[in-house]
Amino acid sequence: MIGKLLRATFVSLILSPMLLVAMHVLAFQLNFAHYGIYMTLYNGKELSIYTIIKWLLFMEEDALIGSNLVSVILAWSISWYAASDWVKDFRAIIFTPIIVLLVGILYFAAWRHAQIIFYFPEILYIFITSWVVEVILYIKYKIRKPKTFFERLEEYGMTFPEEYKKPVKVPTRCPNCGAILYSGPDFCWKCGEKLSLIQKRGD
Amino acid sequence: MSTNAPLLKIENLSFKYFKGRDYVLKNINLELHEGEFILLMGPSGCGKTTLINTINGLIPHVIRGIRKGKVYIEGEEVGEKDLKDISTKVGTVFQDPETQFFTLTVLDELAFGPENIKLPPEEIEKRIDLAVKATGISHLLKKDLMSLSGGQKQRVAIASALTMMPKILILDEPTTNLDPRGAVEVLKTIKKLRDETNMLIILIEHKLEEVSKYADKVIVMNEGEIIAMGHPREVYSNPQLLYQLGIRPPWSAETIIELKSLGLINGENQIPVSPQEAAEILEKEIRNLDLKIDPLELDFVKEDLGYYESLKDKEPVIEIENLWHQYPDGTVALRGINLKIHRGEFIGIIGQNGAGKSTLLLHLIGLLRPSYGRIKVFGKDVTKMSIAELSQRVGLIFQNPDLMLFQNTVWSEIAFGPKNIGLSKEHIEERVREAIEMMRLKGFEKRHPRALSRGQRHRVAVASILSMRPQIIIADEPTTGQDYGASKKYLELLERLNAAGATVILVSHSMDLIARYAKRVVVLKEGRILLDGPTREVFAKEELLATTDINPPYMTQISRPLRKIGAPTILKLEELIELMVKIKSVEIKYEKRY
Repeated sequence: MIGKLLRATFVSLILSPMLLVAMHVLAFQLNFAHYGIYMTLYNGKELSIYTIIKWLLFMEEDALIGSNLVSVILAWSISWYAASDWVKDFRAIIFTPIIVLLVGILYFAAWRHAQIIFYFPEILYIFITSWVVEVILYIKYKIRKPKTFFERLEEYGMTFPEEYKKPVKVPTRCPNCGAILYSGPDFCWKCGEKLSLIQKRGD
Repeated sequence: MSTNAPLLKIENLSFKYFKGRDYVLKNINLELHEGEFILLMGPSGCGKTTLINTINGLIPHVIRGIRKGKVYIEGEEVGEKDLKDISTKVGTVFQDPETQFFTLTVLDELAFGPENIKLPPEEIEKRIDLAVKATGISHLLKKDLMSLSGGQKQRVAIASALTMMPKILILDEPTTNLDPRGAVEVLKTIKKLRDETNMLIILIEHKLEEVSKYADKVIVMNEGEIIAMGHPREVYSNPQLLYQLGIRPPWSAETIIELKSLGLINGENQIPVSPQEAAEILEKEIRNLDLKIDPLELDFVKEDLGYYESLKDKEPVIEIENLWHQYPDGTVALRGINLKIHRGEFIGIIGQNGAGKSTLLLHLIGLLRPSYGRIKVFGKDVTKMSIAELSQRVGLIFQNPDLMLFQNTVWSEIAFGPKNIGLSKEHIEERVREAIEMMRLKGFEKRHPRALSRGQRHRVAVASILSMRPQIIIADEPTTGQDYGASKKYLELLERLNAAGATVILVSHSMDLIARYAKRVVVLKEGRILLDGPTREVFAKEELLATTDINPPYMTQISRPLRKIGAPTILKLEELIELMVKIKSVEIKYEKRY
């Protein structure tokens, strides 16, 4: 559990600032400001690795003040979802955002010496919306069970006898002659009987 | 078929490469005629390839060196003709067909040669038509060359040589890189050419059992000289000569000579050149005998008894549970493999190319991950083991040793693995010395691995695996392209390692090697296990093996008539001798009884 949480936290900590920066660049390129959506982090500045790293670490003042609420929710939701989907754990969905927030506070307070002020309606809004988005996605994922390997093969138009899909507990014995078998062969080494057919009949 | 004037005449030919110390060919004299089928043999490095290069004109036109003597084709000296003119008379097919392809599709490839000598389109079409008929590849004409199987590629290479309508066709080990099915395709094509054309065919081939029956003449070379020449029966009647060169005569000839020398069969029988001929001789021997063999009285059968059953008490080292593998292109290479391999087993894995052998092996060393199912090595799931961890337990020796050699000296090559797992300097040295000792590589420590001969490179590759002291050793086609002597030494080493406790998994297309060394055989077909059982029992299921185009070992084929009197499946010559001794003693009793 702790390992999964750490992995999910790590992924979302990396992913969320990256997504945020990407969304701001996109917003500028698509001229969102024209529609009244202000995402001012990028603003057509000259891009360099240095500035991108600074944005990712929220070292630029713009990073803190220029982030639109919707973009923050989106970045957080997507990154948390990606992280919890990777570790495939419902608990990760619930706890990862909390850990990410704590790490964020620690980072800003201890290293950047920033004054942490919680604007409660906003922070709640971000959290609740992100959680809801994630839970909806997770439930949808749960309801729509991922396709099994065999279902995916069938999508390719490949079909296989049912007995191929079942593991054979080895060693086993040939149902016809009793010879010991250390694998699941199609024929018995001793009597030559077609084993898959027998298993099918046995099913 | 032969005419009096020789098509190919070689007079006092000697050749030395500029960088070489000695002459590779020494005073060769040879006269070969139209319509003859020549089998050229000799140990690795004896000068076979150099000799054929002097015939196809690569020497002296492309490969430079000191050439003495003359090579005449239809009375014209090769050195005095243009290579382009020689190429219309001599066609060469090499071991790896891909090295001689220039175009992308089969049709383009076939047209390439005739187009280059500026033949009119109608003539090109006519020639392609003839070549296609001779090799039976009409269904492949529009295909992409890279989409063909090994056997198909080799047949296209033969067809493209035929479009030049050569008088001489040289085939340099054309089946070496092919699986049994591909080899059968190519050998059938060669037989067809022999029967239906009047070409002089010169074939270099290790599969003597398959080709000896077609050969009019066998030429044996050693150290650049022709040391024997004659009809196959004549040449094979002196097996000692071939043994000295590290060449094993065909099993059929060897078996009958051995049985004759022991007085177990009539001494007047002629030397057979195919398993069928040898089987006929044995059939004659037992034709009038009214006896029934009890297999349980034979020592080699007694030794087998209970072996397979006893495996269940041994610790499983590899457990494969419903393993499926699908490649990114959608190909499903493994389809539900369930398999248990135990400590100390010597197991043979056989099957055609594409049966899933390599995919299975790559899973065992962690280079492929299961698409579905589970593999446990020493009880631990391979997906939870790092490659480094796995490599300490499982060592894979690749078919091509060059894929495993990348260091500058033999020593550093062997030390690479132990260094990577963080062993101390003393431990690394100890392991490297031990591996060098085992692989007889003393004196080569400072040499560059790539500068060694193929056999030596193979030994370095094995040593680099042994230095990791793996408990499971997987050998993938270890003897491809090696002569009998080298193969034997290699497999004896695997046998010794097995006796010392290592589990050995041998993948090979040579049923005789599998029959001789493996105690258990797993037959793969289209990603499934077709058969898995004791070697003798598996090779007895000839009909099932035929469904995947696998012929049983030659010794099994030779001794087939003896099954009529209740004999078990024979895998080795020693077993046949034991059986014949039994038969003869029974016969004596039989005679005494009546």
